[in-house]
Amino acid sequence: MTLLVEAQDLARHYTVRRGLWRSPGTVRALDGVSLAIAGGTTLAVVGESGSGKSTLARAVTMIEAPTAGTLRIDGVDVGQADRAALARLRTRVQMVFQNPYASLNPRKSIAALLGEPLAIQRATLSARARRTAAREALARVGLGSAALDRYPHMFSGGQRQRIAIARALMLAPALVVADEPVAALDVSIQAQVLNLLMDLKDSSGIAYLFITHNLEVVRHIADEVAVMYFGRIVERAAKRTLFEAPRHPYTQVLLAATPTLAPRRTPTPPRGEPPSPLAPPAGCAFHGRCPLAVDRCRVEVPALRQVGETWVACHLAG
Amino acid sequence: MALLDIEGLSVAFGRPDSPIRAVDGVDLAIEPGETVGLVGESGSGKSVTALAVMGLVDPPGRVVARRIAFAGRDLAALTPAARRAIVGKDIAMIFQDPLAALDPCYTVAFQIGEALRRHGTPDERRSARRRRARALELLAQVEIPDARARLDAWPHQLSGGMAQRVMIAIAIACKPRLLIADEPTTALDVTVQAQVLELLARLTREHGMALLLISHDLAVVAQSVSRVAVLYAGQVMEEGRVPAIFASPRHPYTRALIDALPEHNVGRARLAALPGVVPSASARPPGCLLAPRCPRVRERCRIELPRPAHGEGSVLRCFYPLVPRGAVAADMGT
Amino acid sequence: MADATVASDGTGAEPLDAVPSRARAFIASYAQNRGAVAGLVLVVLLILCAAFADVIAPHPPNLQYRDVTLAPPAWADGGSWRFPLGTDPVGRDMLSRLIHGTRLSLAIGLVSVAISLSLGVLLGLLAGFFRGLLDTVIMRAMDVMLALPSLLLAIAVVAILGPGLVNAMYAIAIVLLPHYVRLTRAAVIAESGRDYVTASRIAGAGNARLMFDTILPNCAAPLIVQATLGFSNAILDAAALGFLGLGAQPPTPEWGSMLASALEFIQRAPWVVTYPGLAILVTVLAFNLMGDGLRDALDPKLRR
Repeated sequence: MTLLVEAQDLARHYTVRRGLWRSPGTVRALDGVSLAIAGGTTLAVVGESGSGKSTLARAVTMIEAPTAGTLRIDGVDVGQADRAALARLRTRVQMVFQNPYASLNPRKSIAALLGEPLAIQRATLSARARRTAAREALARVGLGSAALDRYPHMFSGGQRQRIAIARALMLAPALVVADEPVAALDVSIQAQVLNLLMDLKDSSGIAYLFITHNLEVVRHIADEVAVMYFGRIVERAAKRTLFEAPRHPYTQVLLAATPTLAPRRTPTPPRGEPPSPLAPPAGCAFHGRCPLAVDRCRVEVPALRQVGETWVACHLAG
Repeated sequence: MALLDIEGLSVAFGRPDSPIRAVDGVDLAIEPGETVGLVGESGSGKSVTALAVMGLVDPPGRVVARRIAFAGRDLAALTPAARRAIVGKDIAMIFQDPLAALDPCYTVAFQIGEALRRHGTPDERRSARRRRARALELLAQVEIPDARARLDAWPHQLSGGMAQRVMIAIAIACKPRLLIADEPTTALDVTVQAQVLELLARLTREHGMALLLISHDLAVVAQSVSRVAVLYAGQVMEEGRVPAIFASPRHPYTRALIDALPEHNVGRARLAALPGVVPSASARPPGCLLAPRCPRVRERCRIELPRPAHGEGSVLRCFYPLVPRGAVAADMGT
Repeated sequence: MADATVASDGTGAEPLDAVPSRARAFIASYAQNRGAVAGLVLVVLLILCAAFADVIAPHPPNLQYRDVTLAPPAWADGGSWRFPLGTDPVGRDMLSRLIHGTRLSLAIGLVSVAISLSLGVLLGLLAGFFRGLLDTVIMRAMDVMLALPSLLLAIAVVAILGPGLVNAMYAIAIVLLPHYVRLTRAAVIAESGRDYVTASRIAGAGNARLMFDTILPNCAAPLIVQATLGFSNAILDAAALGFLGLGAQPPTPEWGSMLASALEFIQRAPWVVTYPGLAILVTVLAFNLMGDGLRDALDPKLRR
């Protein structure tokens, strides 16, 4: 079976000017990320700020070309694809953004917003056909057709997120990249939107690349989980395996730091601050904050290797 | 005597003939050294309550209260100057987005110094060197690494977690008796959040400071405070001690909030979500505000507004509350 | 398309608030500003004046009454209501010339701003969207233009093209250009990073669609305000050029050139100088008030 998405050693480096006298620095937003998503499954990518998860989202949705590595979607190498192939791939991958107040064009009616992907990719469709498709998409996300002629500012955050999801569905994609889709929403609306995403997965077989920092959400919706730190994947496993037996110290730190209602546990805060992107530490990026660090960690970057059912990048695992 | 005593607080916006009630008859009391949480979703009025206490609600907002007393003195009755002498010194506040709350044009040392210049000891108000030394002390107290170098840093050079620590340093500079924290960790990563919450817990313990923690995150509130009030659409629905209120909530809304959490739905395909949305300002139901969405709603709920009923260390605004296992069902027909 | 299963989690078609339409909210907000409303009323009056000049003006603007040169306004000694605002040195009715001059001033404003705006928006879009070398070239060119005093630049252009009203309009359009380019570029850069633009990119939108269909409508507010204020700039510049003899040529009743030909009479017959000056003042004020009102009404709303 061809995997829907296959990324090998994706890297994205930015050069940052640091003033007239200093040489430019390099920010390694993505530093060798490999992952695979099978059709109909949900891969959750967990990370904090600076982990590279947003850069990963931009690479997978083909907005930014990676500086190194290969990305295959539906078996097609994105870096080598020609214009027509890229256009076709665009219909396979769509995105839902974090901020529902910024992801809808304030100047367009909902009907125009939803119709835009069709107008671009399926130019032969008539305006009426586009409107019908928009109405159907709205119904799928639980909104009535009265919304079609309104504008985004007339809707609440949760409703806007539904519209954003409807837009992502217009081209019937195989993969939806969801970048923190519920982080900006209230708890009860979060639950509604997460349910919607799960229902859509069941009814249409959509795969998700679900980016979040909230491990509790991950526990609910993911099939597989990848934990990112400083541009790399440090652990990757099936959901159950990750929560029951996390192998990487950073994963353990994340789990320990997440507050839960029950059992009521006082989260243990980790030590230290994340390193600055312009001054990456030698060796393992986590060694400065790791309770288990040894000398080897300070010099050698651990490779992602398989230990049991988990892929983990730590010298001390397994 | 309660340190902060709020009785019948209401804040309305919009035109007087069609007011938008952000806060609607809220009562809250905080004892010295106590940690209290204010939980609610957007539109619940939790932030506006704090702003009303601080006197930060600008016209056209209208604040009406039977009493907003701090250490026995009614804040609303004071002159603006007298109020400013208390607010900022004895009551301090930190906000959600630390990078937006710090002035980008001034260094960390200057901004801490500003608080000291206004409310510090006479010595601090006079001597710049004394202020700088105190600023260094405060940065060390909030566990900022490499504090001496950070003194002269600009806000844009700080990460979110560090900026929040600086905000906390400014807030505790004058040893306040009450610290109001409005969503202090919402904009922070989870590891940084854990660090900041631990810092707040330590500071409140060491300084005997009372804490009013406002958040939409139940788990954050659950681990940080000893008592919590749950707000919905500007009204207090339930108030109780932690962890009892979360272990056995009596109000259907509290129950629904807990049930919607992913951690409470492990193994289930769908999260138990409360249908509908918070009532808009123009469409407030005549009876209980939750009635349109409540799974336990009955006729009475739709026509009559439940009054808050005071129990032992708890408050409940519901005619048909959930019954904790083993207790006798009491009809709260007040 | 995929099957139409409805995600039913009890929310269904949520009731949408009856929200006032955008237009109504804008009108309400604009109407709150008294100055802005006054400006708007004045502008409408000016437009009517210009449109119906032939009907309103008591005399043809260029008809010379040789026997009534320099007649004072009706309320002064020696004046009559036949020439309510007096006559100019060659006996033409001041009021009629002023009324016909409205047509010219509005036309100048409209044409200059239209040319400048279209070109400026295009250049600003290209600079802000593509960045890099194109951005640098365009912006440095604009910087050079801004470095020259606007009036001198206008004079230089007219000197090259030759005097006349139409050439004056071109000159003014060039002078106004850098402002629109800068404004558009800034707005485009600010909007380009927003999520909705990325969303359109992911849907496959090409550069042209992104620039004109996605980003440009969101940059409209500051441009509308600047365009209105540009009107008054254009009128002032045209008056200055006319005053210098480089704009409208006699006998065209353009206010600036009316001023020029009347300067020597400022002691003897002040009305010949005062009224054209007042006309310029009132018109510029009207457009400025309207522009300010637009800015207040448009900007905060569109910051959502």
